[in-house]
Amino acid sequence: MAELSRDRGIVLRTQDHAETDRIAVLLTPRGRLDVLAKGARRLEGSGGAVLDPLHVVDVIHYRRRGLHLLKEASLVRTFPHVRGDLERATAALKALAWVVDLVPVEAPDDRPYALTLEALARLDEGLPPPVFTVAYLLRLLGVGGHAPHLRGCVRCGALAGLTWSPEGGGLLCVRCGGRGEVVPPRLWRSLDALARLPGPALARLKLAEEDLAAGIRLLEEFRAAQLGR
Amino acid sequence: MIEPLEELLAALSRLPGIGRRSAERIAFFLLAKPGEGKRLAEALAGLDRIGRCPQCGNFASDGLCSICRDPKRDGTVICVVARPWEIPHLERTGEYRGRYHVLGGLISPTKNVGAEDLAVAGLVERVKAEGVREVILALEPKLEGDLTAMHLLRVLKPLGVAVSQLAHGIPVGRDLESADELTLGRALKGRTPL
Repeated sequence: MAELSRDRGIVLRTQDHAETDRIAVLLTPRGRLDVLAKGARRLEGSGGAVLDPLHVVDVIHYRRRGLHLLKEASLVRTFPHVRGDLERATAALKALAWVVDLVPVEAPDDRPYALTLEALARLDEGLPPPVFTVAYLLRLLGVGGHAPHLRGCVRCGALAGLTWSPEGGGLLCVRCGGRGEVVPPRLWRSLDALARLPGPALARLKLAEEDLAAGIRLLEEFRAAQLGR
Repeated sequence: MIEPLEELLAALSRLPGIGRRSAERIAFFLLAKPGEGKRLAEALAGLDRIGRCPQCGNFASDGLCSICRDPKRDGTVICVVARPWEIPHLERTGEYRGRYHVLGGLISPTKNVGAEDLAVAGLVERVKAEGVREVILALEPKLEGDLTAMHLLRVLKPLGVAVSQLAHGIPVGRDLESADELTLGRALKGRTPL
């Protein structure tokens, strides 16, 4: 019998595989982990029910031919108010899709795991979904070393005439060659606050809906540029 | 191996659950019994005649499916499924005499499938036009199924129709101790009075 490993992780997504199997992508303190649960979709399959997105699970698995095969899975924590609300669950799942792009497979670093756990807990407690999305994505980019520069021009530090430059690393003033979308001071100050304020303070932030929507759009552009897509 | 046989093996191996060895077993069986091969070929050619029922989205060979055409079915109850191949499973229970509606999938933010990609508008139209009194949601008991159910509840409730969903819980014949905590939790939540 191959050596057994034990990991705790957040289920990011699942994918049906073959006729009765399921692949679960987990975020663990040692990076992303893809686990193949043989027979998970059969009635007698073990762990199939708990391997669902937005669950925190303990998995016991072993490696065979480069695959992590699930032996056992048990539920550690769920986020009932996120899973039971269409808007919150949608925001959480869309944000977790970023983890798949930004966190490498089996690369020990517990920061993305801790950050995601904390963010989902805040969303579960009632943090508005758009605030969760922008704050979480900014922090996730930060722990991955991709944080956009949000305090003035990335080159000269100017605080006026700022535009969005995903390729340039964040805000770039027109004098330094910024040609992108103009970012009003209220918007970049809001983004900066969302990137830095501690969790409890986020819930007290009063932000305009259009700023949050614009923030999500700017971050999407930034991710695409940083990941070369 | 000769080319036509190799082509047959390749085609069979692409089917779900059939590997190279099973494909060889089927191919040699068909070679040994040519009549069976002809019957299979004719049946496969008939796949072209199978389309979708314009009313419910079930498989149909000519206009409405057999269930939508059947005047004995209860048109005031609609059972909503994600995919057409789930209908025969429900039919085999013999417990349901209403009609169906196929959504064509489940809401999945990670796969960029939204409510607008599913046959929700058609369901709403049917509820309004056919005097439907109950909609039963027979969707997979996982997050994507739950999100879809939440959305359907939101659009159907204002129409004054009763919305129910299949019970979730312990499979018949299984030991209580073998059920995981989620299944057991849902079974407790959905317990029925005796």
